[in-house]
Amino acid sequence: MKNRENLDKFKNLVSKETSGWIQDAQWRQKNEAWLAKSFQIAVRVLYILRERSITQKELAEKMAVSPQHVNKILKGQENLSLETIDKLEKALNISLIEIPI
Amino acid sequence: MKIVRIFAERLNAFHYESEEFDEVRRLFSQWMDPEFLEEFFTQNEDDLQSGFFGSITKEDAIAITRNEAMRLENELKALSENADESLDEIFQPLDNSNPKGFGFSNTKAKGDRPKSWLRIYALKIDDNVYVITGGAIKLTRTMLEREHTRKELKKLERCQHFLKEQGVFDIEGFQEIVI
Repeated sequence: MKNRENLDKFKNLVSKETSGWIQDAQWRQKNEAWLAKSFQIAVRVLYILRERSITQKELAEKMAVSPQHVNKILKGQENLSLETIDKLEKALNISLIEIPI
Repeated sequence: MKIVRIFAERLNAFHYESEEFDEVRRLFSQWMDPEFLEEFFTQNEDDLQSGFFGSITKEDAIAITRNEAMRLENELKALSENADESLDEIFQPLDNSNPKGFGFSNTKAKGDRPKSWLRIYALKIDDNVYVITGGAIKLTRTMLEREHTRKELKKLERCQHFLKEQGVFDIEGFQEIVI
């Protein structure tokens, strides 16, 4: 009985708001194939930026894109176009994807 | 601070005033954020070489964390879709390497590698009913050894105090989740 009262008190404390986590999780699961690649590219770019002491702002300038766009890329949330990958490769003088012929 | 529902009435999480999201949403977002992980493992690179987890490069640590977070998230998502599976199966008491004096049911969930460093901390309110207080990438044996894990202990204490003030008590003390 005491536990029942405790649980009821707890339930009354819980907000009517629900977390958006389940929607996040569903989206990540659905898009995992490209998100995993986007993550790997972000890690590689972050490594180069730290190694060469290049800021995100400097990278944005080299790519002629906004700093917000670069930040989205480095958060691994960008479904990267070939054009954006090409800009990254040219700005950093690296190869990110290679197509076997 | 407030408590929001994660799924059903059994898994809940604190949402602190200082944070944009509740703790579950915040943790999974961080653990899959390359920028956050690169910064975190740069700051804690010595712990990757300390031998507690063997010797791991920063790049490997980032990849391991994301993979483990994905598995943990999918496991929780599966639990949200299966009402018959109890959360008590994945939570366990927080181990005894933590300081005494916390009268709470302090729980943590960790990833599925043999030596996982992902942790989700929670308080057990009733059988199959939990509230998550936070989580961490724990690279040391005890939570007291690093500031970011000490902070999680303080959050557990703060949440316990908050619940007590509202007349809610914990039935088993601090626990941990193991996936």
